[in-house]
Order: sequence, then structure tokens, then C-alpha cells
Amino acid sequence: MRWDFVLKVLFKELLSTWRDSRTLRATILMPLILNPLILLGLPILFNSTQSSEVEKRQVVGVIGLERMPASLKKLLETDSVQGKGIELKTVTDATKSVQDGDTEATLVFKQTLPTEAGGSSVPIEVHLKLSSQKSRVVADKISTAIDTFSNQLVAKKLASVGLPEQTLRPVVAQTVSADTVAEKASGIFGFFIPLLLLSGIIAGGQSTAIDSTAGEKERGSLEALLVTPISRFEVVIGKTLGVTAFALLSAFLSIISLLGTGWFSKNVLPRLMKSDTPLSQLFGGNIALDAQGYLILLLIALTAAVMLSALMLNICIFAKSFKEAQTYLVPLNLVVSFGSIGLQFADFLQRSSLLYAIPLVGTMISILDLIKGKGGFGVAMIVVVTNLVFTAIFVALALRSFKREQVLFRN
Amino acid sequence: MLQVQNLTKRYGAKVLAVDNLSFQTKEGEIYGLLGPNGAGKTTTLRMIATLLEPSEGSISVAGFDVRTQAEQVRRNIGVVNGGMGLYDRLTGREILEYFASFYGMGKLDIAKRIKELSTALEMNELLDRRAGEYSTGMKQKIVIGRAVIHNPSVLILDEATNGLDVVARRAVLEFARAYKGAGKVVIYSTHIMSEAEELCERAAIIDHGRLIAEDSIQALKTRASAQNLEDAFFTLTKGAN
Ligand SMILES: Nc1ncnc2c1ncn2[C@@H]1O[C@H](COP(=O)(O)OP(=O)(O)O)[C@@H](O)[C@H]1O
Ligand SMILES: [Mg+2]
Repeated sequence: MRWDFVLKVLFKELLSTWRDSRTLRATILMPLILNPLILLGLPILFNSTQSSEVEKRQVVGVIGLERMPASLKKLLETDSVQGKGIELKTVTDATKSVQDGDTEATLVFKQTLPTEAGGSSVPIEVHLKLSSQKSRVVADKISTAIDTFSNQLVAKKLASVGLPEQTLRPVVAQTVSADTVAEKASGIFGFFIPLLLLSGIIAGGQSTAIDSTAGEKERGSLEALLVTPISRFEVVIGKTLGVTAFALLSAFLSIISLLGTGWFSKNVLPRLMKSDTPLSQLFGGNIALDAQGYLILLLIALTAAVMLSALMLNICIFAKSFKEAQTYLVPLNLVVSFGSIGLQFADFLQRSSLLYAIPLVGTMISILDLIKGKGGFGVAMIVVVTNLVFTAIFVALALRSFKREQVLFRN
Repeated sequence: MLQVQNLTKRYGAKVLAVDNLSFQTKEGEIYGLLGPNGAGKTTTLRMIATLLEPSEGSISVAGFDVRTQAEQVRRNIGVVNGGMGLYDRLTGREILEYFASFYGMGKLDIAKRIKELSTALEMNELLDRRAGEYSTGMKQKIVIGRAVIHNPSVLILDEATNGLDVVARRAVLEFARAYKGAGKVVIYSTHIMSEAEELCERAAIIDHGRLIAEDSIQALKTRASAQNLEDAFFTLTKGAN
């Protein structure tokens, strides 16, 4: 291999992509803006809709209103520290009124409620949409009111025999967070980070991957290049490096924006939102790593970038045109997106070395492990080696494509 | 200079694109490769240029074998075809420098050669603009300049005037005429007989991958008792089918 030839190809690809400022902005700068928007925006949105729901007076249907004791009605309707009370409305069909959206939930009193504890338990049916996140708020309000009512009856009964209210609860459980600093930082939105990193790599590399393969074919410049003394291997290596350079640039910027977002949500956002618990503490999406952690993250990102670049080159060389190549890359983006969504359930996964040796899957899980402070050096090395092995395989496959007549001269 | 012997090319099992084709060219001539679309011209030229592997037969360029000495062959040929394009975001000069670098030319040699070519092809003031802004004619000049940047002994022009206006077409034909000379040969492939008649000394007529006739333009016309090459072409290809 003649390195000067490889570098010539690399440099040409860099120059050509660099001058394509519109594409560059769309593929590299967009993620830079999108990352913070997603990582800060989602929790803020989630938080504000949640609290606005709490501050709303929901309409709740009732069947058998005459069986509802006045004290329970008052508990349901009155505002409390938990939020606004609810508005009761008589309906005829419990489930239908919820389905039609007339009420957020419906209470059905089939029997008269007791006025005193000690008899058998009387059920109150609560009809609501269990699949809806929004219903959770009204469900909480209802169950709090019913619990309070129930407790009042119990307290009254206990008092009548001279016992304090705590009699029934001699022991209570207190939950204390056992999350590590890293786990706290990454939080429930931590699974976004591998997605942002890998999408960053793909977004950054794809314009060069398309332009230097399908684009060269479409413009008819590839044939001119291949009749010069440069070998096809040198062409493939040069182009892979060119794609990798932009993939890495983009991944690097993604990490920077993640760090920036983390800093912002820890130091600036709480002051802006005048809240005691920073959002980042509630929802995460931040990285808190030590120097070794960053080094491993960089190593994983670097090898993932080379591997994905070689893979993209492989995919794009099959396309006849720019447009076709873009279409071919869609499944790759989908794999990464769906994989990352699956990462939410990574805690349930049985970790084994084999898992880390699956390309992309291993990369995603190891990044998630890392930001949760669980990543060992050993598994990171499995991922790095896997990425390098697959890089070699993809380069060999790309070389084969560059030698195949059907691929190069498909009319 | 260029020898093609019993050349055959199959694409898969079904398509026989070139069928036992033989011809050779001499130094200092423009040699026509004539035939209708689909005759097998481009396939033949791509095998000469080491881009495609022959199924059977042999080719030698300037004494080098395309199979065993591909790199030497590439140093001795330049290729222009109608579908060739440029890198839109690079300037004409950058494109020429990029391609020149693969022939091991030094910086000074490259600069000198680009100056020569820009005079010969009249492209001075546009060289430092991006290729995306070029007219079709200017693009084709860079494509040609790129093909001869290393001063190859065999220049292949495959439908090189495709889609060009009269002026640009004339420029290509004139360049071809000027390029042939001591130690050089131009292979001119086209389906436009008038161009070939104007330009070529000798020509091979091929159809369905097979050689129909090979001779000087004058002899081809005489053989078919035709007024011009186009009539001769029709007579000869009809007789063969
Ligand atoms: N890559 C390819 N795969 C299959 N068939 C091809 C390919 N390229 C050309 N052909 C076929 O080979 C024959 C010769 O094509 P070509 O060499 O392009 O002819 P010409 O250049 O004379 O128009 C045609 O029938 C064409 O369809
Ligand atoms: Mg052709």
C-alpha cells in the first residue's frame, strides 16, 4: 500500500466534504443543536405537562353518587398539597364516558360505603385508561382521597378502643437511593446517550460515504480514478479514512454537546427554573466519568466510527445514485434507533462476553454501562476488538465490491 | 502500440458483449471503433483500460499485458468517455493535480503540464473556479486534460462528444487531431459516422460484439461502393447479419 496515494484520496474527500457547507451543517451541526434539545427538552416537557396536569381540576364521573359519603366527596373535591381537587359529574356508563373523553375516570359505587371500620371491605370501582400516562395523575388523586377516607375510618375505630393511629403501622419502609454518582447522572434518560453518539457518527460520516461512492459513480468520476495507477485497495482505505474523519468529528462534537448539556442542566437550569431538585437529578441524561472512563468512551467511539464508516461505504457503493444510497442507509439508522430504545431494558439483560461481541449492540450496551459507572476495562476491550474485526471484514467486503464489474458498471 | 487478440467478454451467462474481436493500431494514427449502440465498444475499451477483465483473449498496450502488467498499462493510457464527470466542489486545477499525483509526477512537473494543457485546451481563466460552475464544454476540457495529464501513449475517446454543442465538439475533435503523433495513438469510439470519417485514418466496424470490417476509411468506402462512411457502414453491417 502506498500511503501517499491513500492520503491523497483522504485529503480530496475531506476537502470535498468540507466545502459542502450545506450538507455539513445539516449532518454535523444539527445533532449538536438537537442533542441538548432532546436531553433538556424532554425532561422539561415531561415535568411541565406532569405538573400542569396536577394543577388541573379533572372531571371524574360517578355512578351511585347517593352511596358516596359526604366526607369522601369533600376529600375528592378539595385542593390539597398534592394539587387541585377533582370535579364530580354523574354519568350512566362508566367505561364509555372515559372512552368518549367526557370524564378522565369514573367511580362506581355498587354498595353503600360503611361509616365505620370493622365490617367487610367494600370495593369502589375506578374506571380509567391504564395505558395513558396522563391518567396516572387523576388515579393518584383518587386513590389518595380513598386511602385518606379509609384511614379516617380506621383511626376513628382505633380511637374508640383507645389505640393510637399508628397501631396498624408499626413499621414503615423508607427508600434510599443506592444509585452511584454516574448512575444518578445518567438517570432514566441515559439510554439516549448511546443513540446520540452513534447517530452522530452515522450522520457525520454519511455524506462523505455517499459522495465518495455512489456520488462518484453517478458523476462518472470513479471510472476516471480507477484507470490511474492507484490500486482499488488504496482507494478503499483512503475513502474509509475520509468517512471516518467526519464521523469522528461529529461524534466528538456530540460528546462535547453532551458534556455542555450536563453542565447546563446541573449549574444553570436549577437557577432558571427556581427548583430545589435539579431536573438532571430527576431524569438524568448526563455523563459523569473519570479520566479513564472518558478514555474508554473515546476508544469505543473511535473504533465504532471506523467500523460504521467501512459499513456505510459498503452499503453506498451498491447504489447507482446519491438518492439510492440515502435510501440504502435508512435501515442502518433504524437499527441504531430501535436498538437504543431497547436499551431502556438493558438492566434485564443477562450480561455475557458474547453480548459485547455483537457489533453495534455491544457498543451501545458498553457505552450505557460506562455512563452508569459499570463499564469494566475488560468488556470495553471486547467491544473495541469486535469493532476492529468488523472493520477489517467491512473493508475486505468493500474492496470486493470495488473489484466487481456488476457493482461498478451497473447500468 | 495497441494489440487486441481474440478478445471475448461475457456478462454473466447470457450476455456476449464482445465476441472474438481482434485489431491493432499503429503509432501516430487516430483509429476508429465504430458501431451502433450496444455493439460492445465501451466494453472493449474498458477491457483495454484494465477496468474489466477479458473472458478470453489478450490485449497489449505499449507492449504491456493488461492482465499481468495492469499498472504499466494504466500509465500508458488515458480515458475519456461521454459519461465522465468531475468533482463539483473542487476547482479544475485541483482535479488535475489530484489525478496527476497518482502518476508520481512532481509538483513542478504538474504545474508545467497544467499550464501546457490549459493553453492547448484554452481553459486558462476558469481553472481556479469550482467545477460545479463550469459549462458542459469546459467540463469536457477538464475531463480530457485529466485523461492526458500524464501524457499517455494511448488516448481512448469513447463517445467523447456526447451532449456537447458544436463549439465544444469541434474543440474535442481538434484536440484528438493534435494529440496523435510520434509514439501516440488515439482510439476514437463513436456511433456517429460523420465524425469518424472526418477524423480517423483507419477504423474497425463492430456489431453485436463481432468485427465486421477493418480497414482505412477510404478502403471501407470503396469496398461497399459507398459515397460516405455512413452508407458504407449500413452496407457492411447488413451484409454481415
Ligand atoms: N455491466 C453490464 N452488465 C451486463 N451487460 C452489460 C453491461 N455493460 C454492457 N452490457 C451489455 O453489453 C453489450 C455491449 O454494451 P457496450 O459495450 O456498452 O456497447 P456500446 O458501447 O457499443 O454501446 C450491450 O448489449 C449491453 O447491454
Ligand atoms: Mg458505449
